[in-house]
Amino acid sequence: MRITRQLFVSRKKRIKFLMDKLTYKDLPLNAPALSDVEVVKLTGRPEPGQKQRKPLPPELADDPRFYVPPKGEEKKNYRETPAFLYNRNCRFIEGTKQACFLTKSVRYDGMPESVQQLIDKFEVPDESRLVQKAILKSQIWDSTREKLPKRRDPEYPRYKIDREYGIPLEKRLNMLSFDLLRMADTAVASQYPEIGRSRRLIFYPNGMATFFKYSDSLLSFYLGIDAAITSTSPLPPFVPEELVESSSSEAIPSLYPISPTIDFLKTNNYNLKNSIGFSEISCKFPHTLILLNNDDWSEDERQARALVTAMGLAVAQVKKTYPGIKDRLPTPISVQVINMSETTMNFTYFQLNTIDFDNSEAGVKNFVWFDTGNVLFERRLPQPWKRDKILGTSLENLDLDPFKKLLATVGNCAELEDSSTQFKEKLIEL
Amino acid sequence: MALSIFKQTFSLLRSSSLTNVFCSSERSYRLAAYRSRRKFKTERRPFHYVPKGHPVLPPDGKYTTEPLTYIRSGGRDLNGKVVNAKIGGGPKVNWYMRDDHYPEAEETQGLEEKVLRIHPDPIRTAHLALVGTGNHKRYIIAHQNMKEGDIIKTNRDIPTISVRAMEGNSHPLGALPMGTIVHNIEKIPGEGGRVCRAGGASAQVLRKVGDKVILRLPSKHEIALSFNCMATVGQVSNSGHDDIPWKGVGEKMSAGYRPRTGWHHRKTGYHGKKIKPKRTFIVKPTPPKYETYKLSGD
Repeated sequence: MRITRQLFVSRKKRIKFLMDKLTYKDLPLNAPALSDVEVVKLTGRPEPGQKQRKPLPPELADDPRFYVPPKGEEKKNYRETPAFLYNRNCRFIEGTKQACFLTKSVRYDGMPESVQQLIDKFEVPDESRLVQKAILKSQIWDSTREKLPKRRDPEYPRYKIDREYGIPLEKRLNMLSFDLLRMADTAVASQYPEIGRSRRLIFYPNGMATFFKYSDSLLSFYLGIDAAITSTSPLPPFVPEELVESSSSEAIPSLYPISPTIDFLKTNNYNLKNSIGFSEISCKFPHTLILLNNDDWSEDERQARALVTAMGLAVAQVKKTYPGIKDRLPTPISVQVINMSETTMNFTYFQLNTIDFDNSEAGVKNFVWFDTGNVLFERRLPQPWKRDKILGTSLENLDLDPFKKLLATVGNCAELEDSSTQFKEKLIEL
Repeated sequence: MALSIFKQTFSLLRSSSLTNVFCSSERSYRLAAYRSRRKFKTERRPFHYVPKGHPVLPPDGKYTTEPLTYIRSGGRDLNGKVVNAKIGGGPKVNWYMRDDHYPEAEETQGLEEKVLRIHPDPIRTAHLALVGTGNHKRYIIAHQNMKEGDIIKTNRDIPTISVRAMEGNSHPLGALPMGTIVHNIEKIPGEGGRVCRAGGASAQVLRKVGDKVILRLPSKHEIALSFNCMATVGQVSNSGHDDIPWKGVGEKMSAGYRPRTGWHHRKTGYHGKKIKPKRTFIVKPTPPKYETYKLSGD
């Protein structure tokens, strides 16, 4: 639509503008006869009953200044039955307890055994120097200078701290996390070089969504992930089948009188969608997911978010491979998730055995391993009212253990993807 | 005193066109009258006549637990002019929708709710408590000894024998025994809690007379309410907020109170230049009222 001067002019002036443009061509040629016309007295004073203004001609139908958006009932998304929506911004009020009840999963603290054995297997030469380089690059050496948000210290909230300029949080997170990921990738590829073909690292994938029924209510999940590692072969389960069958006797703590969908958004406008987000031609099985924590949430709430994204992706995969299944899966699906904030890293390992989330007591359960609170370094901010000599931020206490755990998770089951080992095993059999 | 003020406002409003407003208290009637009047000439008003501010409610009109913005009035009227100069300034705060209505409950079983979070309210003196059941969350007034993880019940039954009152539970007034301490009381059943909502407030149930229950309010007035009015047991939290004195003018100004003006203050004999000389007091010996006799001791 071509925007003309007429739209940005007031209504009265617009009409005056149009009336001034009238020429003899616009006037009607055939005038009515005098007998057909009623004679009206023209006086400057209005009649006693009429105090209102004269009605103006009608407005344009498409005037964007008077646009009224449609209500919820008039939109295309409107459905009669309401549904509960999950988003990346859904903050679970009970944390991991609520997420474990939703996903019907038994909780373990720490790393599973199959991953813990791989901690010292992968090495990076000059580990401490490279990690320090990545940290300093994201915190100090970068040349961006933007206005940072106002800061208030909880120790002395009335003190007004000066405005600071520097690198914003998003950029710091992205630089650090993707640098560490690339280092881990090279370390794993030095021992198993076939990973370059069997794996793929995707940044900001989108389109992950699922939906299923939970106790007479529809749930729809739209997941937000920052990076993902996908592979051609699926991850094997963390735990043998004997423990899976014995898990039916274990109990999950109840959430009475709350339901786990208390933090979901209840609407009548929604779209249901089931998709993985990765390509279905190659590298369609998820290996690890990476979430970047841009918020000021607690570690418990971040881990709950990681669990639900892992569950959502696994359920989306199940619906494609086994369309009609309702209860237990023939082979369990396992997903790894890494949670990264500026200084801390959290790991979650999820194994899906059933889809029957309604019954929280009977049946086989899923497994979850939580490893929280791995601090890479500490970031101390200045406190000017204390008269310290340190005026800027100080980085202290580097710890390389979380980096080693990252190497172990990224290098999990790299042997199976390496086709050279499979070839050697086949030769030995012959 | 209260009746005379009510008559004054009623006589003043007879000329203006006021819509039918049903209010349970004189204060809410005055607020509605204040909002409906639009005069070009302003008058100075006392402190509690002008509201300190108003929140920006959502357009849906539904209940939300999200924090909303709070716009301070600055002592200004609807016409934009200063009506009270002792109000102004203050920090930017969030306003939380507090649910003072009592939910509907099933018979004999009641409704159970779990306490999730407790934190202070930036605008009100009482603390806020997040409470949830099923798929619904809401904010309520926190009582004195509330902790995270407690379970709260609401019951609308009135049995013949009075109920054992536990702190935090809410019952109708007809079911409570005599001597219980109570807050967030309804004046009209179904309207929502109106009485005793400030920090540290509480009322006491005295006796039952016929169809009504008599309470003693914190102002030591006695009030008779119907059996069906709901109330919660216990004392409101943050009882010692009045005992802390202000540190100085700076703390008051940063909280939103401005110093008093010299306009329209009652002048006493203390004000102004002292022209009259001081009165001299003369002490005279006063005669006794009765005749005195000296008696010899024997």
